[in-house]
Amino acid sequence: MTPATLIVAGLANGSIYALVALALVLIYKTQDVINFGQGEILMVGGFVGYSVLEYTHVPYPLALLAAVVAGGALGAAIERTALRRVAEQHHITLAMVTVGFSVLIKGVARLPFGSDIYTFPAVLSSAPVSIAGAEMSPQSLITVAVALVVALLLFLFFRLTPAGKQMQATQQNLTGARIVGINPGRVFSMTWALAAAIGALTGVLAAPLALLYPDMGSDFLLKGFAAAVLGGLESVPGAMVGGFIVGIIEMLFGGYISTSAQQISSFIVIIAVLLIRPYGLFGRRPVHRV
Amino acid sequence: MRGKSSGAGVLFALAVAAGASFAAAVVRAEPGIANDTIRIGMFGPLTGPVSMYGYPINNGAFAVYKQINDLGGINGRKIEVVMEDDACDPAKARAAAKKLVDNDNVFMVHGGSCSAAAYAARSEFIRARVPNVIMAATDDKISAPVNRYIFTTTLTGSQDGHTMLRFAKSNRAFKRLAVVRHDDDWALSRMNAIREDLKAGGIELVADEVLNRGASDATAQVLKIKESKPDAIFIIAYPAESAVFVRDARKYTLAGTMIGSAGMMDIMDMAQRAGGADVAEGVYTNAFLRAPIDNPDMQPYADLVRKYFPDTRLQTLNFNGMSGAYAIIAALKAIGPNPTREAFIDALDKLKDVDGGPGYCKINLTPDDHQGCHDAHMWMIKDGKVIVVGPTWPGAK
Repeated sequence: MTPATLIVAGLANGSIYALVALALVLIYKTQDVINFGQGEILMVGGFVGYSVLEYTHVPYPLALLAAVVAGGALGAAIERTALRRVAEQHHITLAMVTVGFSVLIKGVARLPFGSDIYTFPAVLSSAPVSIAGAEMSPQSLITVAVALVVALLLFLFFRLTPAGKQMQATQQNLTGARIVGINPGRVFSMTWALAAAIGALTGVLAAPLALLYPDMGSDFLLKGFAAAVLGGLESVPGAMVGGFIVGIIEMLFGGYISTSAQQISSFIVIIAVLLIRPYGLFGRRPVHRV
Repeated sequence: MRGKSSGAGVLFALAVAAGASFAAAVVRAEPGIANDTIRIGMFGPLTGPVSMYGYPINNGAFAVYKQINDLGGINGRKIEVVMEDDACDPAKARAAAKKLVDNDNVFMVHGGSCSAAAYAARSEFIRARVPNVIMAATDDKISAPVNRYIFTTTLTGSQDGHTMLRFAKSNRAFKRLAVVRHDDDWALSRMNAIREDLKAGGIELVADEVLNRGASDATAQVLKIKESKPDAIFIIAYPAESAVFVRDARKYTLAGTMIGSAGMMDIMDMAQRAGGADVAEGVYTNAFLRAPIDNPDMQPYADLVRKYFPDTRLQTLNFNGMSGAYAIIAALKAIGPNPTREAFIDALDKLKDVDGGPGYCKINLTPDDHQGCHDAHMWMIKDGKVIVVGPTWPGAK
């Protein structure tokens, strides 16, 4: 067993966790709330992509686009119809709203799809390719590549576009953003749409690897949350690095220590890291001006 | 005066007689039994994450009851079914059992497709002395040690494990065995039986790897098993995780014959999830049904499901609870026109070689053994189709 194969497999899984973490971080930075429905948004993306592929037989990129658009619309709708109304309430209230949406979305998905497990076709054949002695499926390769491209695009979006700058300004200082004429409601909607679009994209990438069913999102949410905490909860690069680390740790733990503890391995390491760096790898200690 | 007193005496005697016969009738009335119906309770995961084991399984058994009703019922009584949801949750299962027993007054219960839920409901049936024939749950501890009120006609976990190892041992070339499994009670009941049989020698366990429920990747498990160079690999996992393992086993060119537990019986469905029939070519699975659903032997039972549940998508699960329904019908017929629960239990205890319909087993129950099915056989995917292999390796003596 080569460590390279395990690390590469860990990177593929880790890129899914990283994208989930990225979406969680975006919303957390804007509204100080963890979106407990992010796993279900991922699931919605998977099912939209699957349905478009299955019933319209369009090329894969179009199915991916449809899922991203649907995810974005769902995110904006959640923000506009529910979160906006309780935006000034305690964070726990906001978190409970996202829990409610998590349950609701899962329940609605069961109406047409039941609890059956669906197979999302892989974009490319399952025959592995060998890279530097490590075996990797083309699907995994695409997943890693897309995760890196999304992170890069997000970086450019925040740096180069007015919308990105408005979102950053709102995240940094809500009152200040209001004073300079930024509409926070619009920024919140954009953030939710962006995070949900990333979630839906993640669903289309994850579905061929993980199979497709209404409950598929829970495990990804948990791992994505772990990745976000490890990275620092407010750091976009931290989310990416955290995701890759979680993916690699669980693979190496399963390969060299025990498969029975594989699922909890990443959490053990995260607890250890947080004991040393309580604000995560890329997080900063909050400064309170007096 | 005398006449008056005599008339009053007669009236009094008639009243006493009427009261006595009414009281006797009340005493005799058996819960769930009316002049023209027998009420049977069912429960299972009708909602929730594992609801795929709910209606598909229950409706298969229900179809058998509907057919018997159309043929005139049992001793003039038609079977009425009351269905409750346990959502595969032990607490909800106990509530469902209580409702069936105390509110619905069912005669007996044919239900329990989730092991944890069926085990939780068990104590309610024993308390109320209501017979429960397990629908499809496989955990051994539900039906053993023997309790007078609990029966099963499905292949239990330990029997699943025993028959898997028997099959592997029938190929004398198999010396090294690897196992990939979940770490829950469902998988342990099979694994414990396998470990017990391995003591007899002949095959060595070279790897025992855990694949967690909900796993979407089996790279670590496949690579560790590959290092152990097994001749045969047992897959003791639910269908989705089995598909993940088979997919990754092919991806990393894992050698060795893969043999699934009965949890993988819907093997073509598993193959599709793994990437297609060619991915699962040469993979075996233990099976407690007599044949795959497209086999002519299964036609009468498939027709039954299609007739009474025309909107249902026919799948292997539809047949999982039918053998219990045939056993229940056989016992009800045996006890004649005045059924009681105790007589019904006595009749179940005497069932011998009852045809389990689509089930591979003949049902045999005794007061000392309430697990009615001890046998299974193997299916495999060959040339893109599911074929019946038999209880031992092809050509083995």
